[in-house]
Amino acid sequence: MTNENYEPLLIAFCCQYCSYSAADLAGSMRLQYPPNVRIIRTPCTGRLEVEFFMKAFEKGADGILVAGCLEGGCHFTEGNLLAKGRVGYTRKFLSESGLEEERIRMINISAAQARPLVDHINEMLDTLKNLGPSPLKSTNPSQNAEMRL
Amino acid sequence: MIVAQRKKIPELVDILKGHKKILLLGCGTCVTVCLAGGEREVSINASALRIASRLKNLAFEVEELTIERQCDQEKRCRSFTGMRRRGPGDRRAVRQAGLRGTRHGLHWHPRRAGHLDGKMHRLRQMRST
Repeated sequence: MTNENYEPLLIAFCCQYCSYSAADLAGSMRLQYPPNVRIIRTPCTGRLEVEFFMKAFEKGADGILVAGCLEGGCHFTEGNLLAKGRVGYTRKFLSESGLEEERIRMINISAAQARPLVDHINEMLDTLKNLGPSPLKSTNPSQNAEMRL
Repeated sequence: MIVAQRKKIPELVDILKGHKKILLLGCGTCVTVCLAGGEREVSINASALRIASRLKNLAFEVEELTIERQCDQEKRCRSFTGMRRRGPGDRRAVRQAGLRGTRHGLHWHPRRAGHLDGKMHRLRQMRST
């Protein structure tokens, strides 16, 4: 796959109390963001484990965006702080394994911040385009079937 | 209790170079508590090894298994039962991985008849004297 026609696949884990609502609001406000982001709703970002991120990379995701509540604003008190630690831990594992640690990022968004969410998604996609396709992505498209909508 | 520390992935890759089939075997007791070799850590390390092997063209074939309690023969055997169905090669690997360096005699087992009885007998003797 050449870099000119490369479209990165971004998995966005969004907390249902804030960033998922922000993504919903972005739709209501008719803000556009690229279609190569897959939004996954989670009950809280504290539910996310390091295994989830590692499996997503193994299956061929180019990048992961974890969108949690603002610090101090988590519905479950400290779920976003746990997620922040886990994202940091995953970055360490990725760099140990030989993959770029910039492929995973955590952001904090409130339910009203639709525009910052779209900006963060665009910024992350630009970063992924600069990094190039994930070397773990299979050249056979049928093996990346799980990542299709 | 045994205290363990996780090895770094490059160190693991160096150790495993030249091998193709790898079984990551975790345990649900001491190493789970110290966050070094429980079910979660086995899964993370297996993923990291798979990623490293694909990036470095090492073609590792990584299997994962976490047993409930490796220092208990009864529970260990139960954990391995599922693995035994897969094939003779796996059975041999599990037997070697699970039994090496572990206590597999029943003489220490607290539920064994006579083990606690003897202690109680000695306690009674001490009290009476």
